[in-house]
This record gives sequence, C-alpha cells and structure tokens, in this order.
Amino acid sequence: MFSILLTSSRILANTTGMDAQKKTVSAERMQEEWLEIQAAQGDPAMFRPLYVRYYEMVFRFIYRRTASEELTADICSQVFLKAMQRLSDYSFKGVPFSAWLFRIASNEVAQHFRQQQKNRVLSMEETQIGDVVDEIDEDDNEALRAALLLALDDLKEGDMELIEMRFFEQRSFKEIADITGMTESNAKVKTYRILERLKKRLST
Amino acid sequence: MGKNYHIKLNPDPLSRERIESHMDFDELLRQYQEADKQQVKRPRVIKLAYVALAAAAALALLMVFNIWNGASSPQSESAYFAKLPFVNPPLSEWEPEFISYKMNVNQGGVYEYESGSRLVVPAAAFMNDRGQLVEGDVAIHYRELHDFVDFFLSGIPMNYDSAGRQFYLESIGMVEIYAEQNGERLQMAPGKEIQVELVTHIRTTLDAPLPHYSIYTLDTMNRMWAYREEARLEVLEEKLDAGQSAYSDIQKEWLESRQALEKNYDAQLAALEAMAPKPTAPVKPKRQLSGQPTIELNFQDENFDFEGDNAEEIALTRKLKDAIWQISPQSPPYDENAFKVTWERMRLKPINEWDYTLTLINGNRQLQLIVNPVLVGEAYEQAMAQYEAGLAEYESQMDYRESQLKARREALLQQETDETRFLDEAFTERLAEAGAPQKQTRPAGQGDQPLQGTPTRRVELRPAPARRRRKTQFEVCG
Repeated sequence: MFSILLTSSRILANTTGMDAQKKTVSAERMQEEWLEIQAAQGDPAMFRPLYVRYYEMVFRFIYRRTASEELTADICSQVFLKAMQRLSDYSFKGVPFSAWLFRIASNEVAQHFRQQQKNRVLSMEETQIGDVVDEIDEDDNEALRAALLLALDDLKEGDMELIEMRFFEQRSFKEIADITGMTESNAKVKTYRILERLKKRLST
Repeated sequence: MGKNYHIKLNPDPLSRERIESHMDFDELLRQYQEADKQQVKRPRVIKLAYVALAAAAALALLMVFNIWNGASSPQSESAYFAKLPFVNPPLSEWEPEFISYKMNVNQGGVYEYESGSRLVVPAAAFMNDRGQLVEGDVAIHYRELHDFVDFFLSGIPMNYDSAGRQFYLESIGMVEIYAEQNGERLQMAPGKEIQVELVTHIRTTLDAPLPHYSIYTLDTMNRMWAYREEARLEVLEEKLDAGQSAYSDIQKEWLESRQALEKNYDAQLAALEAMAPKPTAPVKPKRQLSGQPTIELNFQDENFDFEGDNAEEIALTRKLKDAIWQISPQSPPYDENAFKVTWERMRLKPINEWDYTLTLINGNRQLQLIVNPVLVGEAYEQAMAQYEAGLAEYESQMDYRESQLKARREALLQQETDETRFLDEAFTERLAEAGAPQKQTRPAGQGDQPLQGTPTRRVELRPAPARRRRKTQFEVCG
C-alpha cells in the first residue's frame, strides 16, 4: 500500500473533464464498435449505445465552441440526428467513430455561426496559453500572452481548429488527423507552420 | 470579443450530470423516424453562392474545390508541367470562351451572368502598368468554368501542393477575369477589388451535409495554386436531380482511372518507404506547467501496474526515471481529499505520447486522472541536452535515408507522370470523338456593344442600379 505524494501544493479542481477514452481507441475496440454501428445501420434503435457513449464528449466538444449550454444541447441533437441519418453511408476505415461524430459537430457549429453571422467561441484555460507560448519557445509573460491572443484571433478557421484541438483540447495528432481527414504528418506540419507564423508575428 | 473569435478564458465547467440531463434518445429516435418518412434518398443539386473579392491584380482566377478524399496525387508539379505550358488547353477551339463587356471606369458597374453570378466593379478601379489610374472605357473579360469538361478544356492545371504533398483538385467552380484598355492589360488600383459572387452547383444526396470548400488563386508566375481562404457558401436552392450529363460517364471513368493510378502509386511508394524504415524521432522533454499539481509514481512498487507491453514499460521506466507526473489540465475533476487517502493499487495506461490515464484503486473506489510526465530543474536540462543530441543523430539518419530513396522515388514519380499524361491524352481524344460541346451557349447581357478587336462575345456593363438587394443577392433560376 502507498499514498500518493503530492509534490505541488496547489490543487486546481479542473472541470473541463475531457474523457480520457476519447483520446485513443484500440483497433480491437474499433472493430467491436463497428459491429454496433452495423447493427444500428439495420435498426436505428440500436444506435442508443453509441449515443449514450458519445453524447457527453460531443456535447463538451460543441460547448467549447459555443459556451452556451442551451445552444450546445440544440446543436448536439442536430449532430446525432444527422449521424443517424447518414449512418447508412458510414463505413469503417480504421478511424474511430468519435472522429466522424466530431467532424459532423464541427460542421454543425460552423454552420450555426455562419448563419447567425456571429463569431464562434474559442475556449481555453489560461494555463493552455502558456503551453502555446512554451511551444513557440518564448518566455512567458503577460504582454506576450495578450499579443498571442490577438495573433490567435487573426487565424483562419482551419488553422485555428488545428491549434485549438492540439493545445486547448490536448488531442494527439493522430486524433486531429482522424477528425479533420488529413494525414497525421500533414496535421503536424500544418500545426508547426502555424506556430512558426505565430512566433514570427510575436517577434515583430 | 475578437474580430474573428469570441475568446473565452476558463469557460464555466459543466458537470456530467448536467450534460446527461439533455440526453433524450427516445426523442432523437422520434425525430429521426419523422424525418425519414419525409425523406427520399435521391441525388440533389444544390445551387451555392460564393462571394469573394478578386485579388489586386487584373488577372484573378478563383477556384472553389475540395480534394479527393484521401487520394494524394503523387505528381510533382515540376515533373508534370516541365514539358508543358502552364495553362495548356488541349483543344483550343473548344476552350471555354470569355464574355467581354465595356464599362466606364468612372462609374464602375454591376454585371449579372446568366448562371446567376454577379460581378461588382467599383469606380476608378484600374491602373495601367505605370501605376496611373485609367479613365474612359475599359473592357472586362470574364468567364466561368463549372464542370469537369470546362476545366479540362481550359487546360488549367488541377494539381495542388499542400505541405509538400501533391493533390488533384476537384473544383465546383472557377472564374477568370481580366481588364484591358486599348489592348493593354490593366492592374487593380490600390485598395480596389472586384466583388465576385459565383453561383455554382453541387450534386449530393439529400441527407449529406454541405461539404467544405476552399478558395485558391492560380498564381501563373509561380506556377502554383495559392490558398486564399475558406469558402463561405450559401445555399440558394436545392432540387432533385433530373438526370446525368452527356459526358458524366466519360468523366467518371477518367476520374476512376486517375484515382486508380494514384492509389497504385501510393502503394508502390509505401512499399519503397517501408524498405528503409524511418528512424524514431526523439521526443522533446516537457517542463512542468506553472501551477499544475504534480505527483510522484514509483514504477518499482509491487502495487503499480502498467497497462502496456513489457518492452514499452521498460522503455518508459528508463525514459521517465527522473520524471514527475503532472495532473493534466484536461484531467477529469477530482476531490483534493483524494490525496489524503491511502490507495491500494495504481494503474498507468498510455493514451498518447504525452497523456496517460492514472487509475487509483482502493477496494471498490476508483479515481481516474490524466497525467503527463514532466521534468524539472537539472533533470530537464539533461534531458534537453540528450534530446538535442538525439535530434542531430535523427536528422543525420534521415538525410542518409533520403539519399538512398530519392532517386528511386523520382523514378516512380516519373513513371506515374507518364501514365497520367497518357490517360489525359486518351481522355482528350474520347472527348473529341464524343463531340464535346463548345462553351458558347451562355447568353449575353443586355445592351451589347461591340468592342473593337475583341474576338469574344460582347455585352455592356450596366451601372449598378439603386435597389435593395436580397440577402442571397441572386436570382434563383430553376
């Protein structure tokens, strides 16, 4: 038996609550899930276990982009409705089912804000800004953080999605690639090019 | 609020219970069944409007496209186009024609194309190559390319480079515009832009979402497509598809053949790359985030389990012997009192190279955290030194690998390029045999006026009428 030795005095109750399971799914698990999906393709009522499994994670994904619980609930319903409607076209290509749901969710969020002609929400923890600063090898300070936020605000949607998923949602490049449909190496290259651009901008 | 995003720091947390209160699968199922009754799964045609501002150059070619899903073309632009003019119409007599119209630069004007597209040209928009604003009448030449036959006959290259990889473009529409005065090409005046509202169509199934498209400009000087922006598309009209175009079979066959070629190339390339496996890049050590709580884990403890294979555990133990474990900002919420509890067992499971799930177990009680290995002080400095040495070694191995593979890769590419060219030529011949239509069917606008020395069709530009425009800004044609 042992106790956990807490080596840092400050405990921050974190409530962003990203489910660890969403980060990676084993090949075996994906195969099992594919059987569930095939069952749901034959009978929509069999979609229930998938809905229960992924509702929270899709909800949190949307919530980070809307910051409104009610709006998130509405968009989330649309996402699952569209997922059910398109399920017959879904085929297993070695990519987690969650990535497919996130892609639908991302489209729905973009469509909502486009129709409303409003800016979409970009959520982040203050500590995560430090991660980006760290990644671009700059010394962290308040002025730099403020400049970084301004620079982030200038990013195009596609670029922002990469930075958002990598640094603010802490996703692996593999998962980002699955969600965006690009290759893992392309996701890496693009992300680091964006960081380079941010770095260049911060240094001017 | 920012100009593009509403940045929200430290968003309000939502509990799992709160989220679950919105779950209602029965209602979802009811909505699905309701919608399913009304839905007939047939193809549909969507008319889209895209609004863009032409670049500050007299020649602007905009393109709205997506990339074949997962199909990366192996073609290198330099190899493919080295022997060809950059824009190379295969059948010049069938090349899609420009419509020309005359406008007075002092007035500017609005032109509506037969497809529903619209050009808005501001007043005093052009200058000559000496940087002087021009006055009087200028000729605007404009054409739209909408389908595969248009693109092919125009000879516009459809290859695109992204992050060093080549892709073949699938476009849903292009426009080309240029302006002339007395036969001299004009430039856009500083700060002036032509607003292009391109109406185009896509074919999709009823239940499919709108795809994403991006806008590219063809840079003829640098012989490449340059990314411009994400397309903001607006659906103007949807209707069920009435039938196939006369050339769809040939197009389909060509696309399938080209995709098969690319797939074959990808497979050969993958086999070649597999002959010399890439060395593993060193992982950059990470420092503790300021303020994040950390814990120490003892890998030697008999109550510690690592969920992974033994080799992975040994490597990890060696690699992380000096690491402490930071509780990730993305970890699920936990009670601080958890650290006053004596836990019986502990499990560590890798999620990715950076995140691990740590499960603490005491009887039936479990606590799950996401943790990251981080280094502090001297351990971090040492790890960084090792990392930099490892990186130099990695780069050296990669250079050697590249020197071994480069020639074979290029030979493979050349073979694929030749096969693609052969395929394209065969397609050109088949189009000619099928009697591909000349793109001269679009009617002119009102009040045509001949332009001296311009061989294309002529229409006159009208000054923009003072009218209230609908949101869509287009006449919907069925």
